[in-house]
Amino acid sequence: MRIALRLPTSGPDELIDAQRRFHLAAGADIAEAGFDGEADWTLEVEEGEFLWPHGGSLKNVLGSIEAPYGAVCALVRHLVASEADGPLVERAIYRLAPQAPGRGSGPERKLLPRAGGHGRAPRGWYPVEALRLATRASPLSSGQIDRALAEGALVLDTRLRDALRAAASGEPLTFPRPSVAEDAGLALDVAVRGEADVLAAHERLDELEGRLAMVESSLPARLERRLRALVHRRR
Amino acid sequence: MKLVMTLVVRDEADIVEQQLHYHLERGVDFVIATDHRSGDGTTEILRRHEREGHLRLIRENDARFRQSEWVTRMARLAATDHGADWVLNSDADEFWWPREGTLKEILTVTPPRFGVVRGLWRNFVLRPDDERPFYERMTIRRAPDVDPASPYHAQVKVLHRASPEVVVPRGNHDALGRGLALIREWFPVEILHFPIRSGAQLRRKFGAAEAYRAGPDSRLPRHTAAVAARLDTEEEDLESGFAVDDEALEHGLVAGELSLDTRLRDALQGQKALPPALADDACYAAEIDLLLGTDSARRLPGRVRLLERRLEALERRRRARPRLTGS
Repeated sequence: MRIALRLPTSGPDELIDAQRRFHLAAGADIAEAGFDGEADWTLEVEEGEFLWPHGGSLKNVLGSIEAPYGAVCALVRHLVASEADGPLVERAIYRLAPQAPGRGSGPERKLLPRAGGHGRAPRGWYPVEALRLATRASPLSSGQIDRALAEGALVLDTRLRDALRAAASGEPLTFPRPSVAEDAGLALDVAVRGEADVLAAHERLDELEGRLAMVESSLPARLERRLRALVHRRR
Repeated sequence: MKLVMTLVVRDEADIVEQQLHYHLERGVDFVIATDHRSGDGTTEILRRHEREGHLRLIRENDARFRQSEWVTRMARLAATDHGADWVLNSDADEFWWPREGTLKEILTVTPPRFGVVRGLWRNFVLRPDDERPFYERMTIRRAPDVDPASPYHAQVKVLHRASPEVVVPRGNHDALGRGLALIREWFPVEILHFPIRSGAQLRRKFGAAEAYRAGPDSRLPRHTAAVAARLDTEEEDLESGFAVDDEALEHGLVAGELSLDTRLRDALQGQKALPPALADDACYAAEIDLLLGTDSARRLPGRVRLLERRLEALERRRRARPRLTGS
């Protein structure tokens, strides 16, 4: 099985180099800008993006996708950097929580397609995270970070930094299965930020049901029911 | 954290002991069971657990099967009388299997804004009957059916935060009430499901389906109605129609429709479970995908119909208002 990787054409050289090293260590075969016609999967990563598989290498995870599916979804998660000294990938160890202020709305998933393949991804399954470094945002001060961590808007996430350190020293990368708590965190991200289609329809129904229940239980409606009962008794 | 399981049973003596033992060993602290007219020894098993102090038994002799009413009552009792934090509404043929960690670990890390967690049925097929208990014979799992009339259709059950106001609709597929928001796309629990275990149990279970018709919601669940109808017309052949013999097994394994799954057998024999492999994850993902597809096809229209009815009721009240103010 071969995984072709398209790296971004813009961005700092040190970052592109980190992306190349990481994805090669994570199981991608090719790190070239051009398309490899022999590949089974063609992955295109954005500036500052790192594809983090769960429970095995990229090759293991993508190799497990059942034949009817032509793609798999990665859940996008954003890493922000502190203003400390050092390379960006060393400082970007804080992950934005799904409810963090300033995050826009809209789908936060990235489709990873089979090469030349057609067909959709299985719904509700995110065996890969797309960790995105905020390359153009201002780094956060230590005060901002402390506050955001205390408020739950940021979560410490050193996986990428640690993996890049390991790759730099020639150690093999390991991608364990998420723990129960990590799995619940992913589920929360999906629930809050996840799929835009069916999930959004369900959520609109939730909201409509809530609004309707409010109307049904509103003061005028309750008063009307009481008055009606009173009139009925007097008759 | 206290986890309470509710159970409605009727003639489940071949499975209920293992079901109770399995869950009490895996984090369930207390069981509330409603026994509906059992006559096969189920009641005695439940009474023994009651005497041991970890089960509260409610007997129901009504001819009607009032599932939603009974499960709602038990789920509320779990909150009001037994100090439950979470409630698991199960059937006797279901074994709740956490994919990672334990049931309580999953519930502990469930984000606070959510109150309902889903489990997904994994269906096990009937193998030719012999003297062995069901969990030793039934180690073959099959892919779920799209057709809701199949007893092996894709389906969910839920765990929910304890609430004295909870409503559990028929089938135990939801839990409704304040603070009970559903986390829709997380399925951290598999429910190993053994709906048809022997010819005798098949005839007993689906022969009693008429109790649904007399209940408050007189419609039979589609899969129950479909099997009950076959029971009338092909009683002798029905068991063989469901049983997977060796030839069908071989074919099903090659075709990928069946897979060997000895987890429950191994667990009941005291063996430690291994974490799922990536191939298992991918297979599970495909079944979740099917469920979410049917979820949208069936549940969304149902919710829309219910909303329409409630709106119509409001509109009727609004139309009637001038008569009230004019009188």
